[in-house]
Amino acid sequence: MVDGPQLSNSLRRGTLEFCVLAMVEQEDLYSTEIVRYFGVEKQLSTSEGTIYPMLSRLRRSGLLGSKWIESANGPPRRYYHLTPAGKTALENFRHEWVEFRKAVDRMVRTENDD
Amino acid sequence: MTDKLDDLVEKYLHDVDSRLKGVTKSQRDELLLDLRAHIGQLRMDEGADSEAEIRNILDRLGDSETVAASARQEAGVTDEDTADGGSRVKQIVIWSLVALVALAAIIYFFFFSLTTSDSAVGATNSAVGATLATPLWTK
Repeated sequence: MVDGPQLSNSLRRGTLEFCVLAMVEQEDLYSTEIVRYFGVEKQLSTSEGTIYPMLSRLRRSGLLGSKWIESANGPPRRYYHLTPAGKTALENFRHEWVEFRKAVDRMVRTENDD
Repeated sequence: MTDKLDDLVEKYLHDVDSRLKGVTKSQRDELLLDLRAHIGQLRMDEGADSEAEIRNILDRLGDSETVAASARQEAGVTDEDTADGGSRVKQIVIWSLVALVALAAIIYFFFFSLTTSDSAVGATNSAVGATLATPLWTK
């Protein structure tokens, strides 16, 4: 039996990274800003510390770039930006996600739900 | 007081690090650097200068095993790699023994096939060969 928390964990896996890519599509963000945005979306929020290994993987796979920038009033911040490969991956996901969502909606009969 | 708060943070980071078996050194260092920057940033943003406030920041990060588990997963380290260092060693020992027994059996057969007096050889050989004392073709 898959309960609430476990279900949303499974749903987050595989989708959260694209939320990160979308966050930095328009503007570069530093990591605690990314963490904070997830905190606002209750369905997506997770232990803050688990975001960092994901960011690390996205950097290693070339979807995100990052650079450390000195801050005037505090520790240096690592700013993230979307690479061309990340942009492509995000576009692919957008297409896939819409088709995927439609298919699941048909199967579990939630077409007309909000 | 500041020292005590720093100790709290260092202990947390150390706990995470100690659970990162199988993750490369550079990835471990990177994660610790990120976590350290995160904690430093929030301490400043929230003006956290009490033990309770620091603990709150660490709690939101997640317990050390949760963070380390996600790092191991993202780094492609399987649970079998980390579950128990001893289990792999144990497997190697078991398979070595199996190979040794098989080798002994082969040598025994080879030796046995060159002799004609099967009863004498069978009787004087070790337990390993004992079960093989009567080859199928003699039945």
